[in-house]
Amino acid sequence: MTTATATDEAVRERVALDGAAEDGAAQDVAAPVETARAVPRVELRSLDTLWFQVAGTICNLACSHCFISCSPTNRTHDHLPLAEVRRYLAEAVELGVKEYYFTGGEPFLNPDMEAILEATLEVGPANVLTNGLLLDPDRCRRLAAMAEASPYSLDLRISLDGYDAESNDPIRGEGTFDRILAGAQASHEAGINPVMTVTEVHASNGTPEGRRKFIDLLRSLGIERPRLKILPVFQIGAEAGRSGAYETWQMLAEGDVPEGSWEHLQCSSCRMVTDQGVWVCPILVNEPEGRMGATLADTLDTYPLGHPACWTCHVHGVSCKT
Amino acid sequence: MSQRIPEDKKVRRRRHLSAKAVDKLKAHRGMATWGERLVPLGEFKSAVQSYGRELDEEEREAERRAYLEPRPDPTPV
Repeated sequence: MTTATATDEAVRERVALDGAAEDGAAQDVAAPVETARAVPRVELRSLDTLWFQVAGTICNLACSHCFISCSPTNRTHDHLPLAEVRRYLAEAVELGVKEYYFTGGEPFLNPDMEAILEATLEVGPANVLTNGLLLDPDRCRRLAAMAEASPYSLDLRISLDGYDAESNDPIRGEGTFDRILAGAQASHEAGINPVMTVTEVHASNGTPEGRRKFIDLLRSLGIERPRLKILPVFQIGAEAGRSGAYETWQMLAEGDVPEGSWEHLQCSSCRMVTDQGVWVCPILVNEPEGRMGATLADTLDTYPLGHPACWTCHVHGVSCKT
Repeated sequence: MSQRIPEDKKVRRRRHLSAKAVDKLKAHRGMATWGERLVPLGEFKSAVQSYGRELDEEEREAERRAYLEPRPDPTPV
């Protein structure tokens, strides 16, 4: 039972250093002030959602707000091969997982991706979080046929960060706005109505007026019933460099999340599979302390909300799922 | 006709990459992102191995059984 010990130790260390910083003694790293501050622990109520970091941190884009700094050369996490995914799917079925999500990096960079989706659609609904650049009409037709043949649904979530090239491209890369919309259109034309995922990288994105602009944009592509998901940004990874890292006060303390009232926290109902084991959630994959074990059975324990990103999840009620 | 690129052309091609593009390509070569820090990949991977429970097969089976056991439902009916 080493998980809780190692993770708790890391949390204590972080809290101790935060305490030292608040006391103006941040330089004295060798002798951190140990505080009694404890963090809430979240119980895994029901493993409903299983995520796969199927493309690792490898992406064909290098977005300036990416909370795990994905890029063409970031191999912090690598691709998950089909055989590995199958092993976790078998365990997930046994534990009653209800739905599956695939992310990266860019999932369609994984050469096994379509075979992985085929295997997943035999056991449950599948959702792919993609930047849309590799969604050409042929691939979309194949995906639609796969969904048609399955008793479960297949959803595509396509990321977009502005309702025009001027606001999107500085974040996601030159020329991406047009390519993302082409991907969304190909998906729609193949019969898969994509969920456009927008972060609040521009404050206006999440306002009623901002939402309206995204909806209008999607309607202009012929999508009659646009689907939109707005997410806050996490001030980690590349985003920390863009808009600043978390402040020391942005940490949860015991009592902030009363025991038993954690349904709004996705870590009470999800886990994340990577090439290096199973993590608590999709957000903390670049934090070694987010790792809970090698198999799903290793990760059925409670988890301490000791990372500043946990504060964002709690305050904003974030769920990465659709 | 040879498919090899003459040496001088190789150099010219390389020069076509902007300094910014080269920086981006090198950003993670052999490095991992640990939060906001760039650390050697090996350092990240060995840190990862120090976290998490590693149960043996028997313990895993016991965890699965305990997890799947029905929990008492306090809802009055």
